Amino acid sequence: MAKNLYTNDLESGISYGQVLMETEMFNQAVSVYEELFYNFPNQPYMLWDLQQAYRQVGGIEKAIHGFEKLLESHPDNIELISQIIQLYRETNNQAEITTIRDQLLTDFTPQQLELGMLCGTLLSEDGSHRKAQEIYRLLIESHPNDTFIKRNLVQSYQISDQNEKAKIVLEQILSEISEATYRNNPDLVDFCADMLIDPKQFPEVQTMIHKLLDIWPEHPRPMELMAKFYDVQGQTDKAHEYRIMSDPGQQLVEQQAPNFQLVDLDEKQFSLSQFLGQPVILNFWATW
Amino acid sequence: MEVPHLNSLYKKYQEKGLVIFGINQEENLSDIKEYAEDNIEYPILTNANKQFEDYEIQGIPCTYYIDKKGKIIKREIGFAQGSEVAMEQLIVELIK
Repeated sequence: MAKNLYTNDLESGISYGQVLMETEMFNQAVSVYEELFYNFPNQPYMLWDLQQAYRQVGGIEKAIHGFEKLLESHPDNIELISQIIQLYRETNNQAEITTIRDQLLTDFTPQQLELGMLCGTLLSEDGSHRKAQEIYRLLIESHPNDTFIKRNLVQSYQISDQNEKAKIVLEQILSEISEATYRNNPDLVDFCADMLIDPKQFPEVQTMIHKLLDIWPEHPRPMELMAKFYDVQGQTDKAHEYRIMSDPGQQLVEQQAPNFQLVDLDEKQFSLSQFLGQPVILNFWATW
Repeated sequence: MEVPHLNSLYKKYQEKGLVIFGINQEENLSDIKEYAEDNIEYPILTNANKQFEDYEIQGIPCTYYIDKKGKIIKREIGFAQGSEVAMEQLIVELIK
């Protein structure tokens, strides 16, 4: 089949790759996705699919090896580097992550937003908060309108117990929030409101949350914020009311857990009541 | 994703009595088996349509923490990056 017919167009290439995956033609899927990456390195949507294909062919080692080979010809591709880091994380290979991070730090200039953000994240994970903050501050100087950098900086200050500094940056973000921000970037308002939740210090928080409620009437988030807000104020009844509005299932909390009898994958039977005397975590999930 | 974290908590606190179940509605067991064998350390219970109703699962993942007396202590929807520490603290509390 003339596969370059598909890989010259990103969308049909990706669909073709999916068909190959579904029909378990994993090797072919790998070559289609790799070719797509070479043709569209600046739109690296196919990398996640490629990772799945590599894993089918030869497990996580194959994925690491494959991505590192792609990196040889595209050493600046941040999305590719992020994928490789993820894989090393999964294999607990901290040494490799540190090597990559140190290389990124050498390459870093404040103009490179994505690279800088990745460096910041890696440094924070390592507990090197001061160094991360330095990177964020440099990034802010050259990208003064990007609120995401400020948001990361706030988080970094908070984790490292520099609350005063966190407050200063938060106030700066707050002063930049306009009516348009509520519509275009409600996540940011949500973040600020969450951080500024203490009404004694920031009386405007309540107004912010109310505006979020107007914009996201069906969304549980503003109601969760309201609950938090009333918690801080010591009004636990009101907090509880909002918590149940944000998630009706919260009514089950403090109740006896409904008993069940279910079988596991080996047909072994379990009932919840047999574990009285032991703490139990139930994680409801799905493979999709 | 919360699964790797639940795995490590399970390994760490299983001997101290912690029980973890993954609960799934899936009827096609071969799909889950494949996934679970590679990724999940604790038992997976399936065919749980009724339990999804009983526990009011509207979105997944949804995680319940139940104390030794069988009382629900916490219900958490989703998994927030950074909530690992709080999760472990709660478990330590429940084991006491």
